[in-house]
Amino acid sequence: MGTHVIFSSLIGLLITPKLIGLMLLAIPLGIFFGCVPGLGGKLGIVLLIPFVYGMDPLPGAVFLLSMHAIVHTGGIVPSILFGVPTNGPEAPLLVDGYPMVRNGQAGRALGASLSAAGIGGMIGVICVALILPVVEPFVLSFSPIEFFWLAIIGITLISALAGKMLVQGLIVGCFGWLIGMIGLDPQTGVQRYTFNQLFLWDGFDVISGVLALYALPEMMQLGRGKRTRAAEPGVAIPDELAPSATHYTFAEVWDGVKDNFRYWGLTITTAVMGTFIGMIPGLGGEAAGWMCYAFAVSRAKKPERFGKGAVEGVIAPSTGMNAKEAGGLLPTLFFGVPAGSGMAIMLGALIMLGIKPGPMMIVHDLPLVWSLIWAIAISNLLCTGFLLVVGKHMSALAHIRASVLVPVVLVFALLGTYLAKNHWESLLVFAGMGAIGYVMRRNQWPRPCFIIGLVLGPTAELSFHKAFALHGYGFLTQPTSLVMMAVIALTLTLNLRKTYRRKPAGAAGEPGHASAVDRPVLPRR
Amino acid sequence: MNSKPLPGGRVRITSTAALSLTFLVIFVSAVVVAKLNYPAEAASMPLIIGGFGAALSLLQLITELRASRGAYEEQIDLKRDIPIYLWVWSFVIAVTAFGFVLAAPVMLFVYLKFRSRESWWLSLLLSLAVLGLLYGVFQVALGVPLFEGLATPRIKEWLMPGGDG
Repeated sequence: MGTHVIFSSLIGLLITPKLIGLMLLAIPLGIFFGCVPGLGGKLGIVLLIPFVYGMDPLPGAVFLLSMHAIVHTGGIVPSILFGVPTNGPEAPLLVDGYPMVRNGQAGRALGASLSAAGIGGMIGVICVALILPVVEPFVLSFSPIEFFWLAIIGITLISALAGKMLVQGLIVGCFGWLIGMIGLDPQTGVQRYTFNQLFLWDGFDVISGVLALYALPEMMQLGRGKRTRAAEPGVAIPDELAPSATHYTFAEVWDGVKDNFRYWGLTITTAVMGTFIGMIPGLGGEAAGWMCYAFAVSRAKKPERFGKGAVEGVIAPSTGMNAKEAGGLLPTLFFGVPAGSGMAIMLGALIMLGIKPGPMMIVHDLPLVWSLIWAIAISNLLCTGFLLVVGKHMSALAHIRASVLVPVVLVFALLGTYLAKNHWESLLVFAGMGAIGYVMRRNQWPRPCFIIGLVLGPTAELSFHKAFALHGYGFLTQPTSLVMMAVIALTLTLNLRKTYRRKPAGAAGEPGHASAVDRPVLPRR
Repeated sequence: MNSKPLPGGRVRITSTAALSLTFLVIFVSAVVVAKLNYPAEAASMPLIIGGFGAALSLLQLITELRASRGAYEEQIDLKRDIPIYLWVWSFVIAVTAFGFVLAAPVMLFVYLKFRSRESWWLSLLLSLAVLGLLYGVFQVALGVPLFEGLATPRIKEWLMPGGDG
């Protein structure tokens, strides 16, 4: 891999007006999806699908990825200023960010967090740039056996995504896998579960599934009441502050920016941590934020300051949650194994755009890969700069009325569902599956497991058939398989132990026992 | 179903039990369809996943039914949930019948005015904005072929017999 690929991709991105224009358009959209409670990056991708319909792969992917990469940066503003974590990954910011605002340090908290997010995004990209040459031979050596086990490992991570609701998570994962079987069987060419319906012949796409199980339940949840301010369920909205508490000057913001350099060791370490967490399938943004926060607490000389407004408690999760975006690209692009539910949706969108994730990307599509990595870096920088200047005004988005938001999003969800396959019958499936998604949401069943099953199930099946055709059942006893099986057994054992140690608190069906993904649980202050 | 804690003692069909039952039916149906219709190679994975899912769903159903005998707070409130779900279906049916460009702005206006009780001007403004986006941006500028509905072509044909539709 030559350095010319790296820099020609960057220059190509910067000198192409269309690409720069799309990135500039993606930034306010990403901030919007990040600021408005109930939307978020996953919904952002699926709702923007209609807009990239028919676009070339590179502009479409740059647009979606730029939007997705900065969603958490956008979510920082309402999380810190109003104590409303619009999405799960921002929840750690409340622990120290909101107390800082209460202490009259709103500007410093925002400055520290926003600049940490920007720096985290950049360090994530640098880490990926350093890792790529090492990963290249490793990726190219993969055979169907490794891909099969990699997909199974990804599916096993349902146990981590499901949290206390392991059985429910597995049911939802199996449901996703079953839905993924609709269409042509890769082995025999037989049509499975199509029931002679033309619209099912080429399978059930990820976008429709996500819209039905995410967008619709979220909108129904927002639309069922007359709330004017929507917050993540299960996350208490703190008491309203006096308006003067959220007023700040640019000097205070700059003071917060300087905090990143004051705590440079923490900033760099948590950014690197976030990048590597992002690469591990199943962990996702929340894990990155909380793990980096825990790291900041563990290395502090006075840990008792945390929870009362320590600026390190704002820096660490901000760098981690943004750095993981670049890390998450690697398994998604090179193995077709998404690092989290957000990347699973991104994977579906990339496939829809005509990009074929897999090891061959490192051979044939490296300029595209680098363009995407640079897009993350540039959008992070632009977004950080933008929010540092006008963040206070963007925070009004957190108070947008659900009654206005619901029907508009519903229209775009319907549009996305239709455009994903160009079949009107998909609209009926959307509404039908949405009911299942809604009941799941109300009872906090872990919906991300559906996406994992839907995306990885068919990959696992296809790889299994290929490996079986090459080696017969003997592939199960090969050293690679034995190592992978050991990894899976270890992961499952650890997760099961963690789950059942906490019984009966996680008794099925009890409200208030959400997955780590659907419902962030804040630590006690 | 209501949102208040239910008195204990009797087994009830709660929303989570209904959900587990739904999944059980789906998985069992998938297994039966695979076993009866597909050759062994194509049926192998549906049988494994469907069978595993069915077993887990049954286990979950039993757990939910047992849990329903104790104090249980129902998460689904039909009085609040059915109306919004009917709105969703009304959007879907309207779009299916009349297509995006016609139905979406109209349904948006109706929702904003009569469900959300927003002002006339905001309802109208947002509906016109969506109309402009769907027709102007998607249909004309981007050339995206938007679904025109099942009824719209027939209405056009009825209004303009022999026209080019």
